[in-house]
Amino acid sequence: MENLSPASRLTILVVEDEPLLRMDVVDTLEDAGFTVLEAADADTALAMLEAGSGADLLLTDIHMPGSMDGLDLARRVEKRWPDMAIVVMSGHRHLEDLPPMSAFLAKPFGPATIVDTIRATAARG
Amino acid sequence: MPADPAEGRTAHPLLVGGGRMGEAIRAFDWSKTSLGPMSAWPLALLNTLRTVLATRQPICLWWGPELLQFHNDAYLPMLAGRPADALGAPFRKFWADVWGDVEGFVDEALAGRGTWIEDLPLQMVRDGEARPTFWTFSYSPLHDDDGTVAGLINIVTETTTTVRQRAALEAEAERRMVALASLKEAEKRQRVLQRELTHRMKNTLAMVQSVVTQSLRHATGIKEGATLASQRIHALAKAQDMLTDTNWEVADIGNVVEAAVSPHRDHPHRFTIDGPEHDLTAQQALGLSLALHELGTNAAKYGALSTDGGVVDLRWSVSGEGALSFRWSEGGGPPVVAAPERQGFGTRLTTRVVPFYFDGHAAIEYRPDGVVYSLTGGPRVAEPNRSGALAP
Repeated sequence: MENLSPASRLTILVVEDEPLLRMDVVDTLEDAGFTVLEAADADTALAMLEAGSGADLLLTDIHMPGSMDGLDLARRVEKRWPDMAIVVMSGHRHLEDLPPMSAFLAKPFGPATIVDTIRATAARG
Repeated sequence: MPADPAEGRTAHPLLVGGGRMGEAIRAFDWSKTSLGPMSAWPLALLNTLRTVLATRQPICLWWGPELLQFHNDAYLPMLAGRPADALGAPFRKFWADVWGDVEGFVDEALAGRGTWIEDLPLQMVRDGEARPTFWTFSYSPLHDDDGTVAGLINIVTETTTTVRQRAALEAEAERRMVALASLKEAEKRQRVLQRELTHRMKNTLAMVQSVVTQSLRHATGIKEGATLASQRIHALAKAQDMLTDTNWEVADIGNVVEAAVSPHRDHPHRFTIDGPEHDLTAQQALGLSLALHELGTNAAKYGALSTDGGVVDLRWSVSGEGALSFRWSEGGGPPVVAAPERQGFGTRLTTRVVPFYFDGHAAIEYRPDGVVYSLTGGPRVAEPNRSGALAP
């Protein structure tokens, strides 16, 4: 994995209900030098953000249990924290109703892909 | 005026031709009816009859205070199955079976107003049975020589066959529409199944990818990482085989345990397995399979399965609320000195990942006489859409 870049100092909130995938994503991002927070569902993620988690970027899955899915979470976050970068990940190849400023990451993805996507999205913001 | 050979019958020079019904009308003894002999009939009736008898369209007319019936040859098929004495019979008497349905139209015509009805359904007696029939017809007033309404004329087409054919066509069209809708529904279901299949395939790929990257991340070298990944994927594949047998719905915990420990069962007393039947979701089955694979691999390297006398006791129970308590206890192996300093993938998988699938907790204890892994699940609740392996 590449060494730290300025973007690597970002704090990323990973929202993924599948613990094995979440663990892998968290490990990958931590290996890349990011600070990583994790939540198993959108409700928990929103509560963490409201509590001042310090996250700069939201990386969320779409299909998750709870009162809202990842797209609902992304829309709420975009409205509530307009400066926060958002990456939505899904096994579906195309999504038509992504929030305008968010990036899309198609599952499955390799470590380099996720890190590159995070960095590019953070730089764009 | 020539006299008819038959007594009481008098032909009229205006009433000639007219086919079979023309002959019948001329042969009929009208002197015994309320119309009187033909010689006394008004010109209006005679001229109308002449026109009707020369017409190929089915027509009948009723004339006089009793509305006595006349009809042409084209009308004869409509009398099929009915009494043969229609000619000269009063309307109300001969058509008693349908009188209630047409009386209003008759009254309209006698009042000087015409009507036109399309496909009127009438229960008509034919061959002694009331049968459904359909008629398109007009009723128009007939005027006497002095201009008063003396009867009505009925220009008619029986549409029973047409209506039935149309109904059959509509039924066929409806049947085809239903079949088409059913086909569309089947295509929709197929698309859903295809999406579900793609979804599960991607889930499996994502899980395999996580297993591979985690195996490589925690291995001391590529070769060890590749071996670990291969073994873990094999364990996953065995669990998937079980789930395929049950359409990816559930798997019995006993089967999951047996399949997971089978690579290490080198003699009959190696494992003691005890617990009730209990359905695991697909996620739980895959997770427990991976956990048992990690525990077995670790035991084969360092624990009870690394010595001839080592044994593993696996047992579980299920509470009334459906909560699972599962325990892996090693014994008879080399003494356990201490817990490993670094948490590898196996430890994280068994203590962090797998409990999530059971909404519970898990712990590994490194006891001197052997490793003990305990997994406690939460009460079983309805979990819609949790039968798939992983939700992307």
